[in-house]
Amino acid sequence: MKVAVIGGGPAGYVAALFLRRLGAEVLLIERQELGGTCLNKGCIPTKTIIHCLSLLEKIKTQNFIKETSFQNFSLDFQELMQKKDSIVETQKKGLLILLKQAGVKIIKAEAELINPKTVFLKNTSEKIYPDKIIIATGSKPARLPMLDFDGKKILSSDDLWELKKIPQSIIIIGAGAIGCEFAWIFHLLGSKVTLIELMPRVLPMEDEDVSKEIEKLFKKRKIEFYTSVSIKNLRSFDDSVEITLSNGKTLTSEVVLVSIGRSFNTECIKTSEIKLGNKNEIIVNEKMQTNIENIFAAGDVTGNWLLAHVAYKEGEIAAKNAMGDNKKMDYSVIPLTIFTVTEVASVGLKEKEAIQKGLSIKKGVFPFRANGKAHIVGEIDGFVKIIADKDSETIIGAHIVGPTASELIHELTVAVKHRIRISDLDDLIHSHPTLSECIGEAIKDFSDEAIHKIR
Amino acid sequence: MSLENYKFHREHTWVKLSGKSKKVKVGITDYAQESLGDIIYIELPEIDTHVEADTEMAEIESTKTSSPVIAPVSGTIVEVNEELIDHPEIINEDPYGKGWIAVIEMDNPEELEDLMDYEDYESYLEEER
Repeated sequence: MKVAVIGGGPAGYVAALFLRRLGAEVLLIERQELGGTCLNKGCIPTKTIIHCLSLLEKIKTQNFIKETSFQNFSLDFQELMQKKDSIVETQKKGLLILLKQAGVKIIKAEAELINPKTVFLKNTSEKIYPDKIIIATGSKPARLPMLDFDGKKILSSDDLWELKKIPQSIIIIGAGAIGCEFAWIFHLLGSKVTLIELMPRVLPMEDEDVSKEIEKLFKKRKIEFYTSVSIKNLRSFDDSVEITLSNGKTLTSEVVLVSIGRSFNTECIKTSEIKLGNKNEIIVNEKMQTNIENIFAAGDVTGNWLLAHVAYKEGEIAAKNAMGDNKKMDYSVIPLTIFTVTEVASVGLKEKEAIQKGLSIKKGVFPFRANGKAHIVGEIDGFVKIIADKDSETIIGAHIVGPTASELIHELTVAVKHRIRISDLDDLIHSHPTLSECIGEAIKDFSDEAIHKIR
Repeated sequence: MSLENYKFHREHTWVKLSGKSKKVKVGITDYAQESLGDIIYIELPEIDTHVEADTEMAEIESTKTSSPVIAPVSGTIVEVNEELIDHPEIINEDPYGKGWIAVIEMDNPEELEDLMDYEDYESYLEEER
C-alpha cells in the first residue's frame, strides 16, 4: 500500500509514522518546514519566548537577590531569538531522525491534488499515484476583510517572527488565545499593548470566570483592552497605524497584530470532487475520511479544533483508518491550554454550557492564593474551578487559571474522561507542598470542606 | 477615632456622613481588613459608574484571599482613592481614614436608614462570631 501524506506538521508527520508502523510505503510531502506551524511559528517558539521572558521577570522581581548584581539585567532580543531558533532546530532534527528511522520518504515539494488519484509535485512536474492520500496541509492566519497584511505594520502571527526590533506599541486585534498570549509577550518585552475584541470579554471561548480573572490580570499589568468593539476605520501612516473603534475611541500604535482566527490551506486541492465546507475547510467524517473513500484529512485543515494535540490524534486515526481500521475520533474530552504568563487550562463543560444543556450543576472552587506552594513560586493569582453534575455527582468540567495550569489540568482530564465521581477524588491525597493541592481543595469545596479557604 | 459619623453595612463596609451632603465616602471596616489579611490589590470602581446597594462595587485581594466590596448605598461613583492603586496596604493601616475606597453620590439618602451605627455593628459582629 502506497500512501501520500501532504503536509509535515503535527497531523501529517504523526500520520506518516503510524502508517509506517502499519506497513505502508509512505511519501511525506512538505512545501516548507517539517513540524508545521506548531514547531516553526506556533507552539514551540511562542512558549520558548514566554518561558524566557517570565524567567527574566521573575529574576528581576526577587528581592532576595542583591540589587547590585541583578539590577542591570536586561533582555538581549537577538539572543532570545537565537535561543528560540536553536530549540526549534533541535526539535526539527529529532523529528527528522524519527521519520528517517521509520523509513518515511520525505519529499520537499508543493503538492497539488489534481484528481482523487493523482498528486502533482509542482517543482519537478512529477505525478504520483498513491493508493491512499492523507491531506494535512494546516492553516494560516486569517485576515480581516478590509485589512490585508503588509508584513511591516499590519502583521499576522507569522510575520511577528520577522520583527528585527521590539515595537514601542502594538494593537492586537482579537483577544482569543493567540491575541492574549502575544499581549503578554509584548508587555514583557516592554511594548505598550492594547487588545481589542469584538466579543464582550477576552478569551470568549473560555468559562466566564476565566475571562474575568484574565481581564483582572490585564488591568493589574496595565495592559489596555477594549471588549464589544469593532473597527470603524484604520489609517496607516509611515511610522504608525491609527484605528478608530466603534465606541469612538481612537488608538495609535507602531504595529498592529491581527489575530482573529485561522483560514485553511486548501489551495492545493485542484479538483472539485473533494467536499469543502463554507470556511473552505475539508469536510471529514468521524473516521477522518473525506467524501472520497481513499482520501483522508487531519489537523487544522479539517477546521475542527486547531490544536496540535488534536492534530496528533486525528493524524493517528486517519492513518489507522487508511490502513483498513475503523477508528473514530472522539472530541468530547480535549484539554485546552493558553500560555498567558498566568496560564489558562480547561477541559469539559463550561458553567454556562452545562446549564444550557439542561444539567443542574455544582461548583468547587479554590484560589491559588490560599495555597502555600503558590506563595513559594510567587504566583498567587487564579483559581481551580471544578464543575460537577448534581444528579450523578460526576465531574464534567474543569477550568484553571494559575501557575502551571497547563500541567495541572491533566488530573482533571482523567476525571472528566472517565466521569469520575466527586467522592472518588475526595479521598485522594495530594502531595504537599504542591500546586496540585488546589485541585484537592476545590474537590473538598463541593462538601464545604475546603478548610484552607479563607471566607 | 470617633466613628460617630459612620454608618455600617452588614457586609462590613461603611459610609461616612458629612453634614447633609449627598456625597459620602465609603470603605471597608477594621474587621473586614483584619479578616482579609495583608491587602495587595484593589480593583477600584470606575468614576461615573452607577452602583447598587448590596452589590459588588470593587474587589480586594489579600495575600490569602480575595473578596468583593459590597456597596453600602446606591449611587454614582464620583471619586476613587487613587492612592490605593500603588499602596493598597493603606486599607490595612487606616481602614476608616486614609483607606477610604470611593466617594458615592447617593441616589436616595433614605437608604442610610437601613444601615447600622457603630454600636449596632459591634453587637452584630459579636453575633457573627
